[in-house]
Amino acid sequence: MSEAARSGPARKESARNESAQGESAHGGPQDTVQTGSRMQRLFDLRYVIGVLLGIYGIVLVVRGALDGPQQLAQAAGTAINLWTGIGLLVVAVVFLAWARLRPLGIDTTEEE
Amino acid sequence: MLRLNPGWLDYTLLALYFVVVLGIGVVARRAVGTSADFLLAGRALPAWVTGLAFVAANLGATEIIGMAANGAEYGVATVHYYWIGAVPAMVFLGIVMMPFYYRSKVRSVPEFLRLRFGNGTHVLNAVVFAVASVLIAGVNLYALAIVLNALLGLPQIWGIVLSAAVVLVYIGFGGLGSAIYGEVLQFFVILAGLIPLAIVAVRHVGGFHALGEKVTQSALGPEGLHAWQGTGIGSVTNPIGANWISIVLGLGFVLSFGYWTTNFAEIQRALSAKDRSASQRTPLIAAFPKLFIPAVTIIPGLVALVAIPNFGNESSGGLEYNDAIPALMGQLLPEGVLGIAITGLFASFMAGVAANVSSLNTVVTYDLLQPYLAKGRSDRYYLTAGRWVTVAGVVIAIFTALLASSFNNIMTYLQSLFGIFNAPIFATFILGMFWKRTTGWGGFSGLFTGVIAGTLVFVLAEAGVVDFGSGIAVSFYQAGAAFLVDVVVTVTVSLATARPEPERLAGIVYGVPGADGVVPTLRQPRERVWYRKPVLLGSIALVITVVLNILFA
Repeated sequence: MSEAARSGPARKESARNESAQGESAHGGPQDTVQTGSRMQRLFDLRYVIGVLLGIYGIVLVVRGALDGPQQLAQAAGTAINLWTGIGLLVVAVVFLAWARLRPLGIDTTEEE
Repeated sequence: MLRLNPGWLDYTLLALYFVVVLGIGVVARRAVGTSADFLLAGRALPAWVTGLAFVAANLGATEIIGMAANGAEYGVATVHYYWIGAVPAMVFLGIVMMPFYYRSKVRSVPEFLRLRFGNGTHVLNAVVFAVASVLIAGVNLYALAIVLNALLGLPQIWGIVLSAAVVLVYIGFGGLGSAIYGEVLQFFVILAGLIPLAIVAVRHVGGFHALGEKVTQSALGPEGLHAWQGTGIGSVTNPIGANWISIVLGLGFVLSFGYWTTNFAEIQRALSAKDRSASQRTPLIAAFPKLFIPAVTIIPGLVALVAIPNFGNESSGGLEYNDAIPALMGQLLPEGVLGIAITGLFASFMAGVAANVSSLNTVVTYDLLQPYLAKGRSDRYYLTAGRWVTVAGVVIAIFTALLASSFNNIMTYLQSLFGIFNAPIFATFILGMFWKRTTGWGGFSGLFTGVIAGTLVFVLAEAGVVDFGSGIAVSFYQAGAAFLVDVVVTVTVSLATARPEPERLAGIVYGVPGADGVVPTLRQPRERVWYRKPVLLGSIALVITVVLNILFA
């Protein structure tokens, strides 16, 4: 999905930014409330999304492979379990790959 | 009677979601050490998380059940709630208003009013918001109870109590952090259920072309396929029952700007972003899914109308409009994907409740307890208070849910609330942010009379004294009345009272430098990458909006 498009060029950008660090273009009072995000350090949401959708995807693909004519007829002739399962697996892989390729530490220091 | 027949696999998929969400709550509890952790989620989240949470916080009962019902009742013109009634306001929020909110370092929307106008306006807005949140949380609970009733045959009262308990556990533990994480997760699960449903629904009636022909022959008629045809002034024939001026001004300007730019349940997501640029991008990222969500809500509504006999005729024993999505799920989805769709519905309703309760506890704790009712206590006190407000909010929402069950169309009910509460607030904010002369008394009296005016129009219409044509038109007019009265009263009273002291305006009003010497303007953050430039993102969203409106005119 759009996540794929976003993580692609973003990776290149992180390399470019590292060389240009220090010249932060943002003036003004942008300091945040000083609590830090313990939430984010605790776990990476992208893994949670990837694992949950991945499990859903596997279950649906298996269920879809077992679907007989009755299930097909109910869903207007579409192998909907199979296709939904494949779609979920693609999204899951994108999130797991994104989380793997750009771990949290890099992601947070890179933007500002 | 509507009844789904899920298999064991469907229940397993649903149970897995509950485990993950409750797990997030329990783990997130370890992240909560202070009241700021619980109520603000630390202001450190990336824009994609806050952006998806921003759109998901609104993806509760209003979107799924209500918009499918509107799709069946009003046809394609329901897109106005998205393309006219949401996206332009979201872009405006991201580019114009978010910089002011973020720079002022407020913890809530009412707190901005306190800085700008003083205590009167602040208390009024905080109390009104708190009341509105529990009402809306209740509407979401009620919608969830309908689904539970259909799914398990569970009595509505038990559905309401059970789902309230789950929400209570996961936000009672983790606060805003787990609410936001839950919302992002929910965003994906709801789409994983609704996209297959829409695809199968269209194939069920023989494709888009056949769907169009059947809608033309249905009660909606040919204009049920058009967003703008038949909305001429004095000759409204479109099923939406409102002319284009009341759509553009009532829904598009007043209602939508009031909701999207000042509703704290939404702004709270953007305020929890890690920097100003990310906070600006929050509503802009949210605008893109918002543009395409009508495809998965309106299409099932239209299919339900043409494919289910007697649909929408409750009096003659047919299903009601709100049943569109649950009914199609039961009819068309086989075991497996049915479980995902049910999970998506659950998830969306719970997130709708969670969004309102997690903003309610912030407002009550930081805007009512800390400044007025229980000043100068330890942070521990406010953290505990935040938790108890969460409990109280959920309990009151249960009673609101019972109240909402007496209304026929959830969406109309919600729009009435938005019209009364949100329309005047937008006028007050815009005047406060951009007009230095606006005084504390001006802001207060404008907001107060605006709420009264909106309520008055609503009551008069309910009592049958005035007739605006349809329930939707009523909400447009009442929002318009509230907005106009607010602007006129604010300006008049401001000019009649003494100029506000400059310190009160410092750093929060356009062109008035703050204590740090920075002048608030509309200059946008300089970003190197195109997808981080707020103006570019906003422009792309608006161009797509225009194109879609032309395509579906």
